[in-house]
Amino acid sequence: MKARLRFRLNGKVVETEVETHWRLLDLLRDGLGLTGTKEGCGAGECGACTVLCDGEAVNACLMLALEAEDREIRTVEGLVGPGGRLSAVQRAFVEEGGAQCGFCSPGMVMSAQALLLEDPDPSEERIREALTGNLCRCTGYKQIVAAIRRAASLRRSEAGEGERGEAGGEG
Amino acid sequence: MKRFAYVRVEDAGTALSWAAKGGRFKAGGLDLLDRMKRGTLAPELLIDLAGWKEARGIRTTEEGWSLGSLTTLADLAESGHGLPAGIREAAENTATPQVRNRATLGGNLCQTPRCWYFHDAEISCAKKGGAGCPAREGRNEGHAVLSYGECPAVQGGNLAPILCALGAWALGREADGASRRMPLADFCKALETDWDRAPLLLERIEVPKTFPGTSHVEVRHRDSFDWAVASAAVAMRLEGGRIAEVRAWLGGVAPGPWRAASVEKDLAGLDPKPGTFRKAAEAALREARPLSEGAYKVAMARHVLEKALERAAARAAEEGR
Repeated sequence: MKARLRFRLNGKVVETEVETHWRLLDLLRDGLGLTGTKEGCGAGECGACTVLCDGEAVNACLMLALEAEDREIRTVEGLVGPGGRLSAVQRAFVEEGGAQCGFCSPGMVMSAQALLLEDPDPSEERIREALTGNLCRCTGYKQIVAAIRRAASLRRSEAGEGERGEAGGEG
Repeated sequence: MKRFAYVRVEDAGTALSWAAKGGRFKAGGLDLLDRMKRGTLAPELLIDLAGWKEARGIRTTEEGWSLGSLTTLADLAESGHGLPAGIREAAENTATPQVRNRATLGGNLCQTPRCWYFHDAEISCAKKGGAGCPAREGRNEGHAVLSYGECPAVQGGNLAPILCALGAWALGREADGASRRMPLADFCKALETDWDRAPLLLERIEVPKTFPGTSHVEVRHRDSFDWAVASAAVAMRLEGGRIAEVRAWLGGVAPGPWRAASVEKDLAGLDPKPGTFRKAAEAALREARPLSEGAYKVAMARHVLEKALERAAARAAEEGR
């Protein structure tokens, strides 16, 4: 059974036809080829499929594609700015070594992005709380937390320089 | 997931007319989609309530608060409406940030019980139209220790105990569209009989402003994405430094939210000091009858009840200053 869907994806309007039983994750990965968003548990436990819906972190595996109607969805691909410039959060993950196998990283990055949109200077406690829906089985979280602290600092300094800190990627 | 038709509605009347044709309501959909993916539920029509504006948001009223059934748990946890601390604690302790951004108050109240047998499509049980209960002779460490009948599965929603403790009311529509208001405790009790047949299409929850001291305390196996092994919610009012009125409800230990009625009687008129709370918590759990693996839950329930009483008393005293 198919239905029409119109929503904004990474800043652009998307009009498409989807199966009613598709999850948002199915649409992103299989329908639109945006494979940065990962499927881990498929039950909301691991956070590998985290995307932003109207600026808030959500599990794409727990949301029907049709629920994106008239919403703004942002995936990890949508954080990258013009010329392929990585966002502050992405750069901070690279610089701090916030990834090992990397499977959880897109979800971690999106949860971090949601946090920093809400709180530009979060405490370590808030960072850890924001990551409670994201599992990493490699790193032990230390570098991930450090990466988010660095990202917060990068974003603030970029904002202070009057630059557009997250070109095309403000969630 | 099996295929289904999907409609999005903006009012209760339209939602009920689709329901009369066999449709199934969807709020946040977390529990619902989980069941559909597991194959324990296969509705032919989903009625998405997301566009129903009257059932959204938090309003402050003269009597207290009116909470839309579609309000997300994140909004309850972070509300700037001066909501009782116990409500905020119950919301913020639920699942993960991602889930709280989608999960709704109504969905939390109506979610199905936490039982691995119930949620396994290959296993038959009385709650799914079969016979008997595999948990009784099987793994039952997560099951009820109080007030259970044939089915010892527990409803895992975090919000019901504190809202029942606060004397909340459920407002909604019956199948014929008639408005109805009923105590939330009665709504929850009715759900225990049939989790798939709520007595009302929930629109709003009214919370009276009666108790200045409230709390929610819970214990979980994991710190996130888990349901409470046991939770306790307390609402308390002091007069002249003594306990004038107290309500204590437990979660995770019975098929639905469980009223610790003895606490109300045992603590009335007493000085709110710690030793008193321990005795009252022990007395409240005296009638517990755990299954083979559930004894630890009784100890956990006593502990969270004592802590919740202490915390509510401290807040009630603080408010009285």
